[in-house]
Amino acid sequence: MTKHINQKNRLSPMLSFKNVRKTFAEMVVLKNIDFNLQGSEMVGLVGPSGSGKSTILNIAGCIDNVTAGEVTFNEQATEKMSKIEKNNLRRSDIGFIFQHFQLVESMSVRQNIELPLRLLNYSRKERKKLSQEIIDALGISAIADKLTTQISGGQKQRTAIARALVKKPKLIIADEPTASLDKENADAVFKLFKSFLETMQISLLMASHDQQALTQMHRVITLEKGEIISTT
Amino acid sequence: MNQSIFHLSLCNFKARLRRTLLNILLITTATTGLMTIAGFGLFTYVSLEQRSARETGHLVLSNPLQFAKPENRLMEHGLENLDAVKKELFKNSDVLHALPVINFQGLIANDNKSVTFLGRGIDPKEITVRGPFINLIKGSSINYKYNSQDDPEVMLGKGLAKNLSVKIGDYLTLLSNTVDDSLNGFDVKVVGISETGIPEIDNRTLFTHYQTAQDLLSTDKVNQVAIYLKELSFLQRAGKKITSAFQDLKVTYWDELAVFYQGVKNLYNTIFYFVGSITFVIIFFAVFNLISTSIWERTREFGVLASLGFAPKEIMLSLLLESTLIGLISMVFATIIYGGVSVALLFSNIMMAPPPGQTTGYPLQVIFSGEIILYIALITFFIVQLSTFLASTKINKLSITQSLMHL
Repeated sequence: MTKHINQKNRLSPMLSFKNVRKTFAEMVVLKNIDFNLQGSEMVGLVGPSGSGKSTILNIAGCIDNVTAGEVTFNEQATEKMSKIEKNNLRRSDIGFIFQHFQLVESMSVRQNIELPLRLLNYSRKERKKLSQEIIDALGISAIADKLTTQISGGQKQRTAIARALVKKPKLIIADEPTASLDKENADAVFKLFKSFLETMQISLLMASHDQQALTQMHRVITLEKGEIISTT
Repeated sequence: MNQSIFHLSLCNFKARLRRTLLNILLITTATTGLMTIAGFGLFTYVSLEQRSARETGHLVLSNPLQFAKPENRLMEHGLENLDAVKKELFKNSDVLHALPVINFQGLIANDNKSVTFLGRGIDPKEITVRGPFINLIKGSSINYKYNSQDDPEVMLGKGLAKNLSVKIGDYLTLLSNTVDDSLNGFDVKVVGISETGIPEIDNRTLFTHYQTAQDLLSTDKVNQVAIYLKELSFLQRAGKKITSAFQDLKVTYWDELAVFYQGVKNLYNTIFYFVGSITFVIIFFAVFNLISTSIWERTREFGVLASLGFAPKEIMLSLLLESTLIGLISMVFATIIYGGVSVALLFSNIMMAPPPGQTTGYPLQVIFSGEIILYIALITFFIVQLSTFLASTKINKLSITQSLMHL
């Protein structure tokens, strides 16, 4: 396992949480959250349910806002971005892998994978080439033209990973990406996923209970009751 | 427009086929219903209009005093020089027929009884012109060619014939005052029995050739000339020309004389607007409910799309495109079914119950009209798009995290 991170990327964090606080109504969900994520770095978030892992992921992915504090992405404060700027950031620089896959059911595997490329206005030829590359690499070419309602959980997860990777984002946010898979499938999928991240130099912020996956992270942040209690 | 929006709409349209078909089915049914109701309404109005216009003539040419002042003497306000008037009228290319009319009254008697009648001296072409609005139930129409040597002919209303217990070929005596205020009488031959469907008319009316009426009344005048145009739509144009050609006479438009038509039209207007409004509200809520449900159940998907970078307005646009496609397909189906219903009714001969005050029903028909298709399609399309807009606005108010958590 390599824990080497490009020194150049270390100089300016890609993602930075500074004293972040998040409340829902009266309830404090996050407090005093401070951490940085460098380019190509893989950081795991661990903690019991309700500790704030998913909220951090949502804020990092610009799909939720902070109550106080500051989050920067490539030195740009996300709270100061307009909705359109946030959309564009998600569209080009951030990839999501959700716990329950969240594939578009009305589309085939290939169409799901091509969707981020369509949003970025890639040509048909480019879309076909890039999606086929990732489909072949993830071993899902046999099911590429099936609807996502017709494939297994493992195949859905590979599709979700392919959809997140295909546009070569700067950051992938993953929420329990292997939780729905059996251990054997989870290990295999994660190993493949990690190799892509390393090759493409994509950063990862991942919430997981999968100890095997967490050991492969550069750092693991442990949360409890909305606070960081340790970073290892 | 981002290519992904159209692609997304198309994918959803195809992949959610059952839901799509259900939407198309409901919208088609609603649109067909509205088109059929409107087509029936239009048929009712057109029939009523035709009936009234054919009864009086599209335009009526008369002495200015004819409808303004009661006559002190019979035919005092009659129209002279019929041939010259007709010749002048036919100079207008819009005029199809110029048919003289004499209204008179008197007694009609057989060996057993005598009853009062309301006579209408006509050019027999009028029976043809009135078409389905006067039904010859027995015998034939009055002879087109008048010959003073032949027996004068009459056509009796159904009720009047029944009252006198006559059959075709029977002879009756017609008694009436002349213009000189003396009494004149003719033996007339019953050639036909007719029915208008209005008992008050059928119990009293008889038709005879206008020249027979002139002979009976000892006059060469007529009350009026009923002008029938090639198309009712030429009314205004022809009316102006004829008015300027006959400055000493009065030209009356059919609807000024059609009191019954105006009353029934007002009644139908109220009924159709009332029923139409209720139908519109029902359809709006049915379509809105269906579309809202089908959009609401995709909330999580919209959260996913937003997390991928779709802007809310792009998601809305995709939904609007999808509903446009559904709307257009529904319009095509609705138009085809509406046309089918219209043609089927034309051949089915289904009769409506007689309207109030009448004894005969009328055929149930639905007019196939381009205008109806256009207006109903626009209304339904508006309902579909408004429903989609409102439902997607509601969804767009949710945060992405709320959408992703939606079950």
